Amino acid sequence: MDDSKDHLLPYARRADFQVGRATELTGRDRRLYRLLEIFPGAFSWLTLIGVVLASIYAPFFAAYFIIAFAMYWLLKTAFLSWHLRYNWKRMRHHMKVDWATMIERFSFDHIHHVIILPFYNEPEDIIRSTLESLAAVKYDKKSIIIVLAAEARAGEAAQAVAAKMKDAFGHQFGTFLITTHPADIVGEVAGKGSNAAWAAEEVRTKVLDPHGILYNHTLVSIFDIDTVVYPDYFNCLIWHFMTADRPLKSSFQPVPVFNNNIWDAPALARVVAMSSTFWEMIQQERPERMATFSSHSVSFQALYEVGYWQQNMVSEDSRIYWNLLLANDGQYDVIPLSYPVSMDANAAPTLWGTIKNIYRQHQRWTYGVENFSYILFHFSKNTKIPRRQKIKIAFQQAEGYWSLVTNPIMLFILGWAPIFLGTQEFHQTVLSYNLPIMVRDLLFLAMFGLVVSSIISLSMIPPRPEHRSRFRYIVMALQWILVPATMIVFSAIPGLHSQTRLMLGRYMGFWVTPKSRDVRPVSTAFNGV
Amino acid sequence: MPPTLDMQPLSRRSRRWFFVSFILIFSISVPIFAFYATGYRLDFSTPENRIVTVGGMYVSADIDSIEMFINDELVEDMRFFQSAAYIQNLPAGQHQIHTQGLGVYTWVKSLPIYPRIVTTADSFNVPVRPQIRLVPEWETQVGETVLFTQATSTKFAFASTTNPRFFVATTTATTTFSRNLEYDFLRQQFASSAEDKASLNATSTATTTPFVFSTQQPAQPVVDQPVLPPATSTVLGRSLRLDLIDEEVFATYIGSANNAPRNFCVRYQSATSTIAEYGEHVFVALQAEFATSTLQPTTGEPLELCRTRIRLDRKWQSVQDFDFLPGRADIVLMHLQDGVYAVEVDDRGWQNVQQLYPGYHLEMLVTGGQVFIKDDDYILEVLTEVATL
Repeated sequence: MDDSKDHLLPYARRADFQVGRATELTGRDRRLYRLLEIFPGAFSWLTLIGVVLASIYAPFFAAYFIIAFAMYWLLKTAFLSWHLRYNWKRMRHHMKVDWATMIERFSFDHIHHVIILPFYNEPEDIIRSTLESLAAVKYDKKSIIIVLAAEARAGEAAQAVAAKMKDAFGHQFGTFLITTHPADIVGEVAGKGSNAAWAAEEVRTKVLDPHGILYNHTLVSIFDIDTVVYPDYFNCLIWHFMTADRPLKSSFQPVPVFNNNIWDAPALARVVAMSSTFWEMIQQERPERMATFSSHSVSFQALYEVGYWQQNMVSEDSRIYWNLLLANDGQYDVIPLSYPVSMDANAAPTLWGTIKNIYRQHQRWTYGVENFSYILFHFSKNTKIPRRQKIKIAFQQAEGYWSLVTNPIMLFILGWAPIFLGTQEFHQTVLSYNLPIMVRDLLFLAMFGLVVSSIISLSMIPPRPEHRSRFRYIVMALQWILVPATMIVFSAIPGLHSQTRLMLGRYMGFWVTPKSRDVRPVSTAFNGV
Repeated sequence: MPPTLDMQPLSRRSRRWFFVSFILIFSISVPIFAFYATGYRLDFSTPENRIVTVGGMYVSADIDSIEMFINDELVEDMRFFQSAAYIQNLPAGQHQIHTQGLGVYTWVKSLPIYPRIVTTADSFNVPVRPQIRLVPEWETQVGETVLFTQATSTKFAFASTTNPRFFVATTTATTTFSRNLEYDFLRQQFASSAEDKASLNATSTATTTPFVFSTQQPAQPVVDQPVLPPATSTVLGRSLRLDLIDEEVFATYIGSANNAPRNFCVRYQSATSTIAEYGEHVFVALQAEFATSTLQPTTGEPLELCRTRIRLDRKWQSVQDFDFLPGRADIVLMHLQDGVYAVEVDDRGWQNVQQLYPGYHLEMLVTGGQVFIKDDDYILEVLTEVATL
């Protein structure tokens, strides 16, 4: 790695810029950071315990709070459903747009695309389908540099797969580079971030610099290894890059549609996968709240100026956005592409295996709460970021992590607490009897959001394989009744688990989601057009 | 003209418009919902459209097919899985509720409704025609009940039996029949409880003041209630204890004071209102348990007073035996001189008493969640629901 800090933006030169956890700091900074690590978990626990205590000692207050909360949930559902439906329409529209024609007016021959594909021990078929989709894009593939980023700790098998892929696809792209991230580098958390950072430096020194490719003429797309791109992805990316207000100070976020293996995944996995997709679709319509997630694109220049992805933490996909925002003193955007990339739903060969994998994947995702302490810590340090922006982001982040964990539990479990825990005095009241009726009715109305989800999800599944019955369409429509359970089991509980670990200083390592797929779709996966 | 995207992202303006609208909806609707949930209603029936407060009633029933009426109007929204109804929007005042069904006694109760408060009651409806299952001494090889005399079937003509078939034997030779083990077990049980019954009957000699309801003005408060003598017989339930004291059966609540069953509690404003709403006997019972200072009239919110003891109606007869109805903590089986009765542990208004099985010189046994009667030499299981064959 390049140890010089000259290329970094001024704020990124700070020793604590890529801090991963409180233990990496000393003195007052360490205490502050630790406090910020404790805050989300403590606040969530206080809320949940507070609802229980209020139900016991102040059941009337708790009942009114729950009614207000159910109403808030109903309106929030309606508000988000509106965003979802709009983005669905926009994504369908974007799928129909002839992007090649759209970008004809731009001169973009000088732009190079670096595609970083970090992998560990995923099956060869998964990697092959990803590369097949890249080979099928409607774009000049000679300007595409594929970086297949292997892990040394994955051993010879990974090297063999990488070599095989290079043999099969190397000739179709401008460059096909295999990098190997060494095992056990001191200070690193083994995972995607450290591998990707290693690969980025490798491509800089081995491809960009030797060929004189300018960093500001290079767009990096970091894709999870199961990412299947659609033919117009790079045309769409170029259009957004060329029309962006500050293209070198922007990240470009496609919609990750977890539908590659949707026909083979169990209902639980489908609901969770599509819920994640829907959340990203909603975020696409409110970019000021977005951080990068999973597969996305960004200029090499921007990455180089912050020292690539952090190597010492788990949620590198969102952390890179916060690195960029802070290093650029708040002058950095995420631009939603409203264009899909297909990825795998989390499905294991057995249902129990699927449940365990989804839980662990979501625990990893929700461990993104580690960004909260990072953001607030650096907000206290970077005085160039407008205070208004800091307050807004801090509130959005706090609300986001808090609601992720507490809302489902409060609605579906604690909502009934005053009825079971309340005093005898409360139990005799009309309020006590009306509470469950009112909450039930409000939640029932909120179920309309699930109907919207059901309709949209059916339009986003790949064509039915022959070995799957038509009956499964009905199951796929009805599977959304599982949402209350999945919200608690795969969102709130892993979220609380993550926040608690961070709160207690039991930091998490990276966990690679096992990929399992029976049928390999390529670029025809999205049925939305 | 370069091509442009026809569909732009949601504009900040429209998002803000929706957001502000939703905040407005939230701000307006939450107070309305809160007031509604608490029991406030806008009364459109008056020219002033004034705000009124309402109460509710929650009545459970133990039979799915039961019909429930409030002030003689059918309650439509009985709960699906539980035979209970939460009746909303009841104005304050006295309301009569009754549950009825085909072939069962009608349960009737008159209870007061207070604003913002839910009054609860548990109804019960036992069959008018006793439902019995004869436990035979002998059975055929295929499980048929063996009767040695045709007269047996006429003896129980007043009841419905669930026995599938009877076999009237032409001989009393029992070698071809098998002995019914259930009969032997129950016979043994009845024999062992006979000694207890004897001692019970020995203590219940003089008939004391019968249990009556009064519509007259209350008697003057009793200042010094005599301490009741010790119980001569006791049955313990989960949170209730049944005591036979001087020929009267009392149900005593033995749980936490904060969780007293609702049927032990009344809302007290004054002697007059209590007598009007719950009956004089309730006021007298309150006097027996609470100090005179507690029973001073109040002008504000009614005071909730929970007694610990309710006297059960014994229909002016001497009590032979008593026990809880299996599965119900609020219904007591009273074996009186002319039969076995189900009596509710709820004297608000009046106590519903429903005859389960008529007859003299019976013996009663509650075991294994079943009620058995020994009538002459016959042992019968008495069912509390109309049997469906």
